[in-house]
Amino acid sequence: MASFCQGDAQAFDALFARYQRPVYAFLVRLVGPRTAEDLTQATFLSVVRARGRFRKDARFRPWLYAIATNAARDFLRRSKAERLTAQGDAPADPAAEDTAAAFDPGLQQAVHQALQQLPEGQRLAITLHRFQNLSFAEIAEALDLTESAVKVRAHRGYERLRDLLRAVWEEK
Amino acid sequence: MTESCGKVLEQLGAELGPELAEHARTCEHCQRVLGAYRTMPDAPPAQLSPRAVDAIRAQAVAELSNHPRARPWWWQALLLSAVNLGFALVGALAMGKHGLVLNAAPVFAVAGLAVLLGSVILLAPFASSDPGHRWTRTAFLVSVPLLAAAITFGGSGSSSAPGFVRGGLPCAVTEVVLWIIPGFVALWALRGSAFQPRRAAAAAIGSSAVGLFVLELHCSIGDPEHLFVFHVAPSLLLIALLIGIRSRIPSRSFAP
Repeated sequence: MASFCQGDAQAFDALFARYQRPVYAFLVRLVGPRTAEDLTQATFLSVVRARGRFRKDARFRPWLYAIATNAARDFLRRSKAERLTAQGDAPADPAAEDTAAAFDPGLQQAVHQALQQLPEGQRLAITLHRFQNLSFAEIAEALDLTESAVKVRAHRGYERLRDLLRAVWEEK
Repeated sequence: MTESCGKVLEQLGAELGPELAEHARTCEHCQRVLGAYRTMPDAPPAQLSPRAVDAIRAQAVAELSNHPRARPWWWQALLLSAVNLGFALVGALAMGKHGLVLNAAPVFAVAGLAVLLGSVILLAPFASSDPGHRWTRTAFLVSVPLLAAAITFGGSGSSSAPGFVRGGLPCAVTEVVLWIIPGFVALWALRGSAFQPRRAAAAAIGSSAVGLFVLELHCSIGDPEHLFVFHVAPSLLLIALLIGIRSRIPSRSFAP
């Protein structure tokens, strides 16, 4: 990261090669494949443009996921505002439908739909923990929360998911 | 959630030790958490097409070669502080034809408020641009009602001679005029990071303090109604306006 901050393109290549796939997969979960490609681009452009904002005491991975999360939030906020302007009311989220289509039917889709029913804070904590394998300390850094706040969100989210996935659980 | 529940949560996906396994076996909450975790399958990783990977990489590398030097976050804050300070000084001097300080309130009140507003002008851009230390932005937000009360009730008490509106409008106009350039520079600076209402509010407070500083020195009208309606209220509106504009314009970067 230090070489990259000095403008070293090879250092950027190494970071890009390592993280482009997980960042894209994360964004697919949040906004669906159609928008995830654009947001992956926005995320890595932000990494380049804002590398001067990277704190020396910070870790790269949480910072990168913070950027990806902000990009997704921005997209969702804008698309919601556009829909509100056009229709005067908030209908179902098209990003959610788009995202659901990215997963296989059956269990994957049931999990995805259950995740969509969680509040954003719980959904992000679980997605980053379960699917991106971030530790709670890293999630706390990425979401600018305390570690205990993240744990409480994840714990509540997993408990709620258990209820939402009851049918799947009983089939297993 | 007990301490043991927290430990089970941390160990999800790994083998639980005998103590935690025993806790998990008897704790209803942990049973549900473990159940949900185990039900969720590892998704096949989504992949970008090779063409998309190349396009994203090429664009990022081009950006990097166009701007090989990364400026630290405080550079932007320094620039914004300098613009705010510059406009505050130019405004104060430009309006000082009939004397630099026309405020008839006690000297300690005028000086105290001027120092306070000067500090806001200089420090708010740093609170806004700092990628960490979220509490500094919160502190600026908390200070707004206190500052508003200090300005409203810290005047000389003298009434508006030419009438309430005729005497007050020039103050509101001065405030708006002195806000325009610092406000737009703040917007430019705010585009460099993800939209956060508190971040935008801190920058907006700094920009709107420019006009308040000049009026604090030059306005001879000191009754609380005038100070609230023509000094504080326009300033609050400008803060809200800047946050509103920022929320609608696209970000150049989504960095925290």
